[in-house]
Formats: sequence, structure tokens, C-alpha cells
Amino acid sequence: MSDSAEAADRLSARRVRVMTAVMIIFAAQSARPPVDMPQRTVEYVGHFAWLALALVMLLILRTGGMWLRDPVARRLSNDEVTRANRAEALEWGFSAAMATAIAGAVVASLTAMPSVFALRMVILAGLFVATMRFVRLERDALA
Amino acid sequence: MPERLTNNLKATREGRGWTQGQLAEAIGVSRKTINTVENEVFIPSTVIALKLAAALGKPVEELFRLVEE
Repeated sequence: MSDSAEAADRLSARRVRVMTAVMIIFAAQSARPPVDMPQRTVEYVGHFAWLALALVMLLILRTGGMWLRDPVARRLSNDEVTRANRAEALEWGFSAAMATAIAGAVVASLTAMPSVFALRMVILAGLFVATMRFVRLERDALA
Repeated sequence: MPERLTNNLKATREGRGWTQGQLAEAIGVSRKTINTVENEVFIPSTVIALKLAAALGKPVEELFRLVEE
């Protein structure tokens, strides 16, 4: 295989592994979501670290990541099929976020639900589904 | 009548003795793109179809065709 195509494949495979690992960490940190506003400094740090990770995951899904790689490798790793995979993954993520928001609105209309808890559930559902869909599509494409 | 796009990219590429990586390099895409087009998982844009045809020295309609399902 040629050098640049081989490098692009290697980078794509690494991106799949990193995104899977980061999403597992991200989801694990949501295992005990806060049900109220953070009170202590350590809770604020944990909360904003989680939000920062959410923002990074969203940017990777929107742009393909690899911001510090050389432009040729980045372009090859974000070519037409990758962009199509990202678009489909974001479509799935949007649907999951909306479904979670609708379910949350139903629950919130029956009982009190803290906004910070509801928003975290929407973020988690959207990013988790989008990331896992992208990982699945990329794995199939790289096979 | 529903139609499906099929292609004989793999046979044409192998006929020239090229690997997926070599064809990918020739048209400036990743091997992943060639693999998904050959497996009919991904329908390429007109730009990629024209580049594939030019690289393999075949008309586009010889590489891609519509079949009724």
C-alpha cells in the first residue's frame, strides 16, 4: 500500500480506538449524574471537565479531529466516505438527543426534574449514539 | 421500479494488478473509500466516479451501472 493511504488508514483506525476509549470514560463519568447544581469546588471542576469533554467530542464529530496532523494526512483521513459516516452519525445522535429530550419533557411534566440532570442526559444520549455509530461505520469501512 | 447502483471496480482494479492502496493514492482518497465503493456500501460522488474512471482508463458507465432490484 502507498505511504499516504497507509498513514490515513492508520490514523483512521487510531481515531476509532481513541473515540471509543474517550466515550467509555465520558459515559462512566455520567454513571452518577448530579441531580442538583454543583455546590463544592470539586463538584464544579468535575462538572465543567465533563462539559469540556462533551465539547471536544462534538468538535471531533463535526470536524473529524486530527487538528494537529499534517494537512495531507488530515484530508485523506477525512475524505468523502468519512464525511458521509460523520453525517450519518450526527443524524443518529440528533435523533437520540431529541428522543431523550422528549422523554425528559414527559417526565418533567409529571414530576420535578433538575435542569442540570436533564441537560446532561440529552448531551450524553446525543454524543454517545453519534460516537458509537461513527465508530461502527468506520470499523466496517476499514475492514 | 427500485434501482441499485452496482460496479465492477474490484475486477477492473485487479485486472490492472493494482491494490486498493495504489488506486486510492492515484485518485487522492483513502483506501477506506475504495473498499467501501467496491463493497457497494458507499455510493461515491460524481467527482470520485470520474477520477476512478480516469485512473483506470475506462468510461464511467463501464465501471458503474444501475440494476433493477
